[in-house]
Amino acid sequence: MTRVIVCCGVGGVGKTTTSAALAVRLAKTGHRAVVLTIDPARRLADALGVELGNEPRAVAIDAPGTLHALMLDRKATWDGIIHRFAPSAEAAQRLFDNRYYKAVSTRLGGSHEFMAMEKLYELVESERWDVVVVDTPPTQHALDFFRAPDRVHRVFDRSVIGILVEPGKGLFNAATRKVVGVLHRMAGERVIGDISEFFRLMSGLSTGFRKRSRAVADLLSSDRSHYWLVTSASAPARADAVAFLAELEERELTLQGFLVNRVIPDPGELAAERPADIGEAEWTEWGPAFDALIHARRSEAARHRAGLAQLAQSSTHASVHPLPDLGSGIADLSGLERLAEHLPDV
Amino acid sequence: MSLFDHQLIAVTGKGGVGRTTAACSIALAAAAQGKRVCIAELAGLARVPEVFGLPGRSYAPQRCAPGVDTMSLSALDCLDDFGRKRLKIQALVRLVFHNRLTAAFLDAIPGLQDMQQLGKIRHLIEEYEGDEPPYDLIVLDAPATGHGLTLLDSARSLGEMTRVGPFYEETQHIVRLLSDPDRTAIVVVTLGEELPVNESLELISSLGEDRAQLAAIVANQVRSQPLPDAPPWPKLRDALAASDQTDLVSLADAAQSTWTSQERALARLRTTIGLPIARLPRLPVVDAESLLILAEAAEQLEEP
Ligand SMILES: Nc1ncnc2c1ncn2[C@@H]1O[C@H](COP(=O)(O)OP(=O)(O)O)[C@@H](O)[C@H]1O
Ligand SMILES: Nc1ncnc2c1ncn2[C@@H]1O[C@H](COP(=O)(O)OP(=O)(O)O)[C@@H](O)[C@H]1O
Ligand SMILES: [Mg+2]
Ligand SMILES: [Mg+2]
Repeated sequence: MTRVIVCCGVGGVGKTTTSAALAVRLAKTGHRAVVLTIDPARRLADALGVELGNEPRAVAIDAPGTLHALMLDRKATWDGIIHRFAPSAEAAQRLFDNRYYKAVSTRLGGSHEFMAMEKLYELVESERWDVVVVDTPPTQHALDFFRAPDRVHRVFDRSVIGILVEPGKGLFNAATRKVVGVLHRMAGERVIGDISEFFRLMSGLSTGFRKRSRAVADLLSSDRSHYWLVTSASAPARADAVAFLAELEERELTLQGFLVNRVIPDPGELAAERPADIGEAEWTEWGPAFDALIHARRSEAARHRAGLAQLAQSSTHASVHPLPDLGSGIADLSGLERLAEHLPDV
Repeated sequence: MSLFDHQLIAVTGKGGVGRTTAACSIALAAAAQGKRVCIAELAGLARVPEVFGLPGRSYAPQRCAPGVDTMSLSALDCLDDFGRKRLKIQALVRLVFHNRLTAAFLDAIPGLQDMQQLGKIRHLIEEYEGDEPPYDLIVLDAPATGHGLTLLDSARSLGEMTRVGPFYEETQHIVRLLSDPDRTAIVVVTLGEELPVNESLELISSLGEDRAQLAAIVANQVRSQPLPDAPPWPKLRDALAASDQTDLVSLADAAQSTWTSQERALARLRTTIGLPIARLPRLPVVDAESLLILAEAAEQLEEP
């Protein structure tokens, strides 16, 4: 059975890089791995060969397992669902032409996450992989991956939207009718018309659509899905981690562990000594610069160590894995391979 | 025209590069020059109060430093304000804007939340009550740009979608304000590393005609030169290696190469974009106190 590994975390901590490195590690340990990336930097995308694709492509890697990668295309994924569940090609086309559908499939808040989950489900369903690793969309809060799809569900909740677009139907009180009237006037009838057409067209495929959403939710809450938080050792990251843990618990999910990225190793007892063939005068230029460098390193490493210790205390079960800072960015497969050496077996 | 003479500075960039930190630094720098400033953040992103050590966020302006307020704009609060301005019957406002239908409506129309938040900012600039605007400058801690999707695009698309009605009219006012380079400045925040600089260049080229509002770049988390220029490092390097100090050599090498690639990346950015770049140094922590150091660095934005 295909397992799922979800890498959560706020934007910029190294989620995309780390999830790709996890997939590399899985391939190296003999698995058929696929990574669903969301927003790889151009050169990383080139290195993975995914710049074109919403479908998995093989990445050439020296490993006993296999590595595939793809990059989520939110619109193409939406279109794929419509094709799959629409009763006819004609019905699908009518949806594609609907202005509101166009906005929903490209810009609706939360639909990025919703589509990542959808794509994930598709990959699992294909049974081609041992493990699917999912990068998650860049957000301000690690929790957004779970919360955002709720927004999409609210939009598709007919009981609310139905009232908004077709207040004539049903027994609504005067106050509700008034509210709807005001909203219509502010938004303009054109949008309201587009939305009600959208929901009329969607009703033809809503049973399949809803069943599918439920299956995706079931997969994500089953014990086949494992969650990792990619984070850093800094103070704001720790606060976010604590909030994230609480939310996972509320959803009865468990966090496997923290992947603490870009940790600075401690230089230990390192001290600079003047080599014999360097003169005293020359050394006065360099000695203080080295001392400052070592001192800065040491205090950064100490802050990171404290951060790691606090993360370890924030949860009784989640493990903490420091990943070293590899310097100026990771732009190719060999960089991912180096990072992969420090990752746990998942 | 000086950056701080704009009415709105939108601070943007990829997630985690330091947009919030840069927005706070710019606000403090402008206040140091006597401007009355407000840092506006979108409620979903709220971190400004925390940076200044305030207990919590609020829609009502809070003082966070001398001459600087901050407000956290939630879409629902902004819509409420919008309604008060547009609806004749005030009794309706409570009814409409404290209703679960309205929340669903805000969720359902892409761009509507952005529009409400930008609308509030526009009102502070153009439709204030009283004789003069409450602030000289609004600094917007803008959301992270996914592939080129800016707030301005969002307002434009909503305009396309609606075409009539009060929401539509508001989008048109917003687009006019945000696309006027004399009133609105865009500041892009980046890191001094090769890949983030590439991504910033992509972001900037995706600005298209809105490139005119791009006024400056902030390079954040910049490191200072780790080792002196002279005498030459390779000679010393050999001597250190010969005296068994290989750990020191690798530490110095790493610091030196990180710094060199930082300088290379920033030089490439400068020649490609041709705009002033402020360098905000990498600090142990970012808090109300250390922000003053960053604010001083942000003032250098003034000089091309
Ligand atoms: N361990 C690391 N060492 C050095 N650079 C890293 C490391 N992890 C990530 N990076 C760099 O940090 C930047 C952001 O990484 P990315 O994976 O795109 O973050 P996210 O997906 O969380 O926004 C990239 O330039 C990447 O190369
Ligand atoms: N110049 C700096 N020196 C040290 N840490 C910084 C600096 N700028 C930002 N940070 C830290 O980096 C993280 C991200 O910064 P933030 O301003 O919140 O980014 P964004 O708003 O783009 O997500 C925060 O933990 C912040 O404290
Ligand atoms: Mg990413
Ligand atoms: Mg921020």
